[in-house]
Amino acid sequence: MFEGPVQDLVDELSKLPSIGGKTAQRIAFHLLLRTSRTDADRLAAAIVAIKEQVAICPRCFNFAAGDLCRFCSDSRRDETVVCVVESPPDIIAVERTGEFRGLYHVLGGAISPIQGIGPDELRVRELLDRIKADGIVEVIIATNPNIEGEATAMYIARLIEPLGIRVTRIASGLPVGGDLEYADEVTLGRALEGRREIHG
Amino acid sequence: MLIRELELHNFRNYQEAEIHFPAGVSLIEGENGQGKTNILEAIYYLAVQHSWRTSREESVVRDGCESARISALVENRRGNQVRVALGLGKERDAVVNNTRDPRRRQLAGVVTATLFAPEDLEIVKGPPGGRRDFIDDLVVKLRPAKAGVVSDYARVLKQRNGLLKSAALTRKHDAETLDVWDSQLATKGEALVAARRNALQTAMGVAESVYRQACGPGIGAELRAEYACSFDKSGAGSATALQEALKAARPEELRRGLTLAGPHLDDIAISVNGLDARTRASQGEQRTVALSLRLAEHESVAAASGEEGILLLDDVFSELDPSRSRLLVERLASAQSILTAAGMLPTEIREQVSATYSVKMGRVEQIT
Repeated sequence: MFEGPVQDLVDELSKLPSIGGKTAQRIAFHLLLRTSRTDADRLAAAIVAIKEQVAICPRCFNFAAGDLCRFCSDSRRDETVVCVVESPPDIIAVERTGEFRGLYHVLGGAISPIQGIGPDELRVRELLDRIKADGIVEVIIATNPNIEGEATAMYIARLIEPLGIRVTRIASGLPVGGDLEYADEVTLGRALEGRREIHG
Repeated sequence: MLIRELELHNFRNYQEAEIHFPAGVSLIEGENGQGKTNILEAIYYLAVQHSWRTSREESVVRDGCESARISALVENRRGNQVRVALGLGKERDAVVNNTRDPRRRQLAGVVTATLFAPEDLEIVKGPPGGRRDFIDDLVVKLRPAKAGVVSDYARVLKQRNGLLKSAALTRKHDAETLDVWDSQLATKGEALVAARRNALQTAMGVAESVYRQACGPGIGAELRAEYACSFDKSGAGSATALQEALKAARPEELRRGLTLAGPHLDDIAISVNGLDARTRASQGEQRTVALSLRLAEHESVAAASGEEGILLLDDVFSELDPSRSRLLVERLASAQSILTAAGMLPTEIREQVSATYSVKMGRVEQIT
């Protein structure tokens, strides 16, 4: 046990994901001995600020600094297309492509019974409400290409299809710019299964 | 592929050992408990980075030591030599030529080996799980791209069981979610059955001929293995058939919290001269069948990959009569095989052997 405030910080840090007791101690000592007062204040202020200022967008459930997130409040975006993702970092990934100009919908995970996550734990109902209310014409499902992501995609597709709306699923395959020889067998196998005709 | 040299350092009961192997058949002799199998285990470790004898890696480190090391010089079919090493216990690493890496992945595929151990008798004699493991393993070895087919099915099954288990506990369930898992299980199940059938068909051609050869001419020796699909009586194992089986099983599944239809309940029906090998064959016949299956694995993987691995046969002669043993050794002539035997072998077998080693209390000596 350390002096009161130091131990308090160690205890708080070790509650964070992937930070164990040893790492928490190292970070606490770093903050105590090697971090300037200014930097420490900035860190503290940043933590307070995300709790005070960042909310969840009531429409798409992305992080939002105002009422709506920056995509939902951007009038230049195409409101008729929605890309469904598992979590906010996935939005950043899609945005980096610069290819998607529609809106998002964050599910908050994927269906995974062994972790006790079913459709009720995700924002599926909210997605259906949006589709019915907002004049959406296409839903792109961009959940992860694993078993849980596929099951979630299929579940959502089954719910949306009867509404007469176009539902698409992003393709999975090889990373572009990489070497074929370094691709693992499973990815390459899937890419072969999903091959397409090429026209010269 | 050939293993030319093997060096052991604090591995099992070997403090230091260096063994040189020729091509062809090598025979390791010694009494029980002297360390014959440990040599095969070391080579197997280089090939797959785990042991069939233990899941606790510390138990292969010599008593009182912290780390063990297995080093080898292997040669591929073009004659190119590669030096490999594997550190076990406290100092874990893998070395390929001069590249050292704490991760063992770089060793994958550098050394390839097929093992036959006395425990393989269970493939023939034991419950269906052992036969499913054998065929799933073969699927991946023959077609590495199919690894996803095996692991996807296992994952879907685990999730679906999770859902059924909570439904059984809470007595309520979301039928729509279960429908989705049914559909996933059906698609992945169909792919798994197809991959298993394919692997079985590839291997059985070889297995039948090995069995016939091991039994000798003039004796009826017909080995058959049929894929026994548990949910589709037509045998096709289609997604539609699995969907229907799941529909029929649903009330019972919800009650028991378990998936009750699918390829995880399938079996392989092995027969010798039309009789069920599991219940109607003698112990010696069962062992010959198990061995035929392993040799079929060995030869068909070699044909698929273009590189024949090292064949490791542990205590293979213990329940085979001398004529079967001799016919077996003749079959091995093409590759490099390393065999262990507890007793003295008949002269006609010894004539086929390129090198003989004697093992006594963790010391190896080459006799011929």
